[in-house]
Amino acid sequence: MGGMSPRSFVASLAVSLSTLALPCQKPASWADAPVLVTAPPAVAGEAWALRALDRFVLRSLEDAGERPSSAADRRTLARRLAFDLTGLPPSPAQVQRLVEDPSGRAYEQLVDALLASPHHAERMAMYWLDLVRFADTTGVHADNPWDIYPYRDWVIRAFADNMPFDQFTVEQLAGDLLPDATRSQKVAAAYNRLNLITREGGSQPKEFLARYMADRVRNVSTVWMAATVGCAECHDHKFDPIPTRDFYRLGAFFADIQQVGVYSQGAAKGRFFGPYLEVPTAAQEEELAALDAQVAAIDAVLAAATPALHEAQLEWEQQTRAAPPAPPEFGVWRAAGPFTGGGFAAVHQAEFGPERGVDLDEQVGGEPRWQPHPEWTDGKAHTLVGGNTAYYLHRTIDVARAQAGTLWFGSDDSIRVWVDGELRLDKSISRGVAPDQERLDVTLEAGRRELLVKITNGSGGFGFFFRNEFARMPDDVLAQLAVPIAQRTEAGRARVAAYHRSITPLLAVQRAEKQRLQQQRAQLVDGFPVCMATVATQPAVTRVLRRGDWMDDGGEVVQPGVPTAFGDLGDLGRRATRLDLARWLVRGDHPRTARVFVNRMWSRFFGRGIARSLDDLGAQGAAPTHPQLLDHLAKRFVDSGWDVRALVRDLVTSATYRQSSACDAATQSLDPYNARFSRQARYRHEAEVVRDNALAVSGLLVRDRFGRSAKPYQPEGFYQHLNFPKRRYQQDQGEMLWRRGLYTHWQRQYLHPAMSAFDAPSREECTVERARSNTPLQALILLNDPILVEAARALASRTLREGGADQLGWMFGAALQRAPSEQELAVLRAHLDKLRREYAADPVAAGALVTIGERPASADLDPGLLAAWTGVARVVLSLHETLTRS
Amino acid sequence: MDTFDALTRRSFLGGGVTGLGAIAARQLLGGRGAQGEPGRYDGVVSPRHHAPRVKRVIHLYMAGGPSHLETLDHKPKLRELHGQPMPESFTKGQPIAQLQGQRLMCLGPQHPFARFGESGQEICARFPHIGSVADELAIIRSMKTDQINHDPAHTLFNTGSTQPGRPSMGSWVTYGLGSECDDLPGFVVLTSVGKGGQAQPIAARQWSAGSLPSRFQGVEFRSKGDPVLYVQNPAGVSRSQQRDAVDAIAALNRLRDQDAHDPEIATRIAQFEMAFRMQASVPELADLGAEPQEVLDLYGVQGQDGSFASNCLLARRLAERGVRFVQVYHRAWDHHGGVKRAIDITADEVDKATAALITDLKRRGMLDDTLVLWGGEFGRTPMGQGNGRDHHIRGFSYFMAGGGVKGGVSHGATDELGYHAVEDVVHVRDLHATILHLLGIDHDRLSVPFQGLDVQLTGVEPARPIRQILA
Repeated sequence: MGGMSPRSFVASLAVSLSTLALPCQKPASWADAPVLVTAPPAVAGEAWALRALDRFVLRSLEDAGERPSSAADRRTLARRLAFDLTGLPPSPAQVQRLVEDPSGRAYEQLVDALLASPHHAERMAMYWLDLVRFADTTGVHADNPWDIYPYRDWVIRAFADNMPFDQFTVEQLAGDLLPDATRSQKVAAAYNRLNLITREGGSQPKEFLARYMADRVRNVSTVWMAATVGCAECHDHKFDPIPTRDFYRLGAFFADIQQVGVYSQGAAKGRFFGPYLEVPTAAQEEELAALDAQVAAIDAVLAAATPALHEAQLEWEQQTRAAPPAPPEFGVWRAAGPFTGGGFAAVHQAEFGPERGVDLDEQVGGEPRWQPHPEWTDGKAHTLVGGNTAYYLHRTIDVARAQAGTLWFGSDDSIRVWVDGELRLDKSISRGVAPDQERLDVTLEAGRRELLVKITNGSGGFGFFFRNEFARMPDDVLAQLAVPIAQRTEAGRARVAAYHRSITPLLAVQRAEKQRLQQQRAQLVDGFPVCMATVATQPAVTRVLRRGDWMDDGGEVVQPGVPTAFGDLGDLGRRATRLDLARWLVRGDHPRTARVFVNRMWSRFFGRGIARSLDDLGAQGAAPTHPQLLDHLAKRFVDSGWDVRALVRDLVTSATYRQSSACDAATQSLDPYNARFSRQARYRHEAEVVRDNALAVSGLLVRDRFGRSAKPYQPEGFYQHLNFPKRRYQQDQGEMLWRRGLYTHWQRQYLHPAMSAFDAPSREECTVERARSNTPLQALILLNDPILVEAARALASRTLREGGADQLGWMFGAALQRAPSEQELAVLRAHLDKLRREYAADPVAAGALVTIGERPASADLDPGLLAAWTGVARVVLSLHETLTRS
Repeated sequence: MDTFDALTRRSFLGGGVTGLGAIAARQLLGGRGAQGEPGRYDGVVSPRHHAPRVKRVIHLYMAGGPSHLETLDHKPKLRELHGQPMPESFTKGQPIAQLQGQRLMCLGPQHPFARFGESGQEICARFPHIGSVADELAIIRSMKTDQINHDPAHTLFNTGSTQPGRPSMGSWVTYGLGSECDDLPGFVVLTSVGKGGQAQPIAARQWSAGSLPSRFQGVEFRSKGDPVLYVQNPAGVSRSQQRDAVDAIAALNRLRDQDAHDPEIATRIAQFEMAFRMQASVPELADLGAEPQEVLDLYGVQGQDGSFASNCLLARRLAERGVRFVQVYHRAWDHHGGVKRAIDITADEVDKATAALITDLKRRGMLDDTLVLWGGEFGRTPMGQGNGRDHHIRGFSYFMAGGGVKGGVSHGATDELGYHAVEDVVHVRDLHATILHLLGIDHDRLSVPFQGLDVQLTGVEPARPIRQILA
């Protein structure tokens, strides 16, 4: 991994922390004091320390007269590393290589293999997504779905590329403001759109805009500063480093984000939450490029002069001079109506008169029945009014010379069209109006023709669209035709030749092909996924809201600024932006960000932080147990160019990390919180990992990365309390059912029940640390959730196929990477034997059990046998050890 | 089996927890067993801050915002002004929801009121059954909240804050007091929809444990499908096979514990055992067929049909079994249009069963140690929205009944048009303080750290229990 150290993204960061002085003010707390660089302390047990960080830990143990725990056994270490670094169990081969390693190098090799795994980035992303409150829905009132998963994929890719943490920070907070921002950087900036938003009618936009600002301030200050600001929204708090004014100054950074307080009630494709950014997949981009290339090739043909074309042009010119085109002339639209009587279908069917002949002079109640509408121009949709109502539209067509052409219509809703009294189009339909919904090819004889259209509306919108296509010739071409070819200018010659190529039958095939490709292109672009985007606009005025009251317009107007207790942006000579905030956060003379991040990373690998309050560094939170260690790690992190992977590698290759997590009752009572890190931590897997582990062990896991969120099995009716619109869960089919937990559709108000039961947060707020509870609902899920029953059956199938002579041992090993003891084997065997007898006697029950889940059961396995083994697998997958990182 | 039982009892709520912070963890350890039966999780408020008056709470939650003007707050003056402009002195500078920018006209009470009981409490005549228990009720006519839209108003009502992530009332109470039930969750939520108003969405946030461990979260009992999620065995697994599976898991976990010495293992074993028991106790609880016909008639139900009435009966059964906090949502009170008819319909759904619950609790001797609350997240405007009413937060009504609460009394008042609470104003946080007080908790002494703050149900503003209605 030594070769992977990335360049620092922000050039100013080349400065080492230790060489910089803080601004001339007293730091708000230890978290803001300059980083103290101390050499790793001397220790008695030199041999134990593998990394510099171990010396800090060991020294504090030695000072307290304690010793570190012995190293965990290698199988435990393989599991610990695999779960910590990828969230998945180690492969049998990985465990074996480590256990049998004679060289002493296998441990670091395993670390490097796991860090290089595509799943490492997913593991890191799980944690980050909790912090930034990534979810698939708005979180308020109707909790509507939104399009923002490309941001999640950006996070995964960033960790996969080991993006330096300073760049990672800048792109999320202000990727859109970077010069020549790439699409990826703009997607990263979708971070700023993850706040909860509402569409609830009757909400006050001003109130919600205040909420959105407060939400963003809480998040940025917790994620990057671990600073308490919740109180400051309403009043100054004597223990908090951030007074109310600073809260709003921080909020002012986000005042440039284009947004509305209450999102709209109607939008195409459910896209209520603009602005959006198109984010085509790689395959879509390829397809688009291929289409553009095809169009370019056709354009080349359409533009090329050939002798044959030249000849055809001469002939055409001759004919045209003899008989110039005379497109039909359309009179002004006149409308009669409204007509009502009966329901929507009946009104469409009914004959109200005009179909039997139109008298434009007809009077109704002293008014002309047919009202002229000169404002109804062609090529645009026009609006009518009424429900279960019909209008007749009429216009004359004067045709100088018989010719063919096309009439295009759009209608909301049903439509009938007559030409010269003959019904030519009749469509009963409910829809909104759009261009070119109906095509009518006509041949018009010379003379005055009559076009009659009837539009009938059910409810809601009501309108129509019309345009016509007949051969026309632009005036400038007509003028050129009057000039003999030899006397035309070059431009004139080119103009006529180009026009001729655009209409000549010789190129009709190419023109049709181009039109087809362009339609295909439009459809492709229309189907591009989108991501809610952060777009900067004129910043809104930010005022201090006294006592947090959004109706208060009398508070001080503030400009963007960082918390005064933490630093100062200096005089920029202009309004500070999100980009300034982001760059300040990762400036080397600002020690808080690095301390916050390394403290949290430490907690990921040791069970708790060096400073225990991961969300409150410095103010009221507990002081670090090992301040020098925290500073040592923070300095290394910044000096490495904010190399996240190097930090992780440093932590997991340490002797401190490799300790056993075993803890007897005496130690437990002496040091219940492991204050000196004299042992490793043991705890239940996170919700996603509980699922991923079962799927991985059983072979069901689909390891695809990225893409829209997945909708796995979920109990019927779980969304029954959602409304506007009423929600019915659309469970996925096929591969999407077995994807990793982090891709699960994150419905903020109704998170998947198996996820929330295992303490996955709703992500309405920043979560720095999940609870780890142990409840009966978890047991019900382990025993009864169909995905876990299906995983058990898949594990049973694998066992029967791959288990060889010692099937029970194989199954146990597949889940736990160790052999069962004799006693354990006896329990499993007794359970298996009983189930085999019972399912042999009850084929109906056996059949029912082995057909749970969408993955078909192996037809070649006896259902009774498979059911019995499924029962054993349920037990193995539910064991405390299976669920535990130790 | 004895040790197993003891373990199980202790562990349903007393199981291992991390991530809460040291203070809470210490409270968890210290709070065990001092007051209730040995071994049972007794909550962090142990001993109680003062002698409790009730053991449990049933909150009949009229979601959507019932019109106080057609339920509990009689305003003859509003009837006089019906059809006339609402005096601007009432509405100027006030937040308004859907009526923003519209002409504000008075809409008189759409139903008559009558006096009920010996106390002569004034209640809308459309609620005669509730009237029949008027002498049990303490009616608060001066409620006030801060939030004018459903989702934030519910969140404030349930958690004391509009910021997501805070524990809900039921979670606070079970965290503080534990439960008296070993095979059911301590905090249960029941919901029904009605025909009289649009069913506003309800977020699971409303019964979330927030930053508290998920075991304090409200568990929703559903009327369709499994009453509790995942409570059914998988198809093809019999109860005895499930028993065998739980036993095998326990045996293997115990073998593991011989090496690991991990206290979480004992908890895990106990939680599986509890889950197995719930698989029997939950369907048994949900089976209303066990109730005598006379009881079914009292509530006006045939069986468990997901109605508000059947949920009231379920609430009594839950209370009987020691469940600490029950919320019964009726999501049918958002009457923007046609409030007269909507009240007719909703009263039919709610009136009889509400009174039946109070009557039933009383004759079983349970009303003395149960607190029943009735009301919504806000009230509705004296101004008409057509022939309906808009959301209203400056004055609305609630009633309470049960242990520690005076019966047949009224508290507070709104102005003559029912707009502002003007007399003995009761903010939502005062209601929270009252609930906690009746349970033996001082609201200022129950808090947990969250985002660097010590948060409590009643929030940062001062809150006071409503002394005047306490018996």
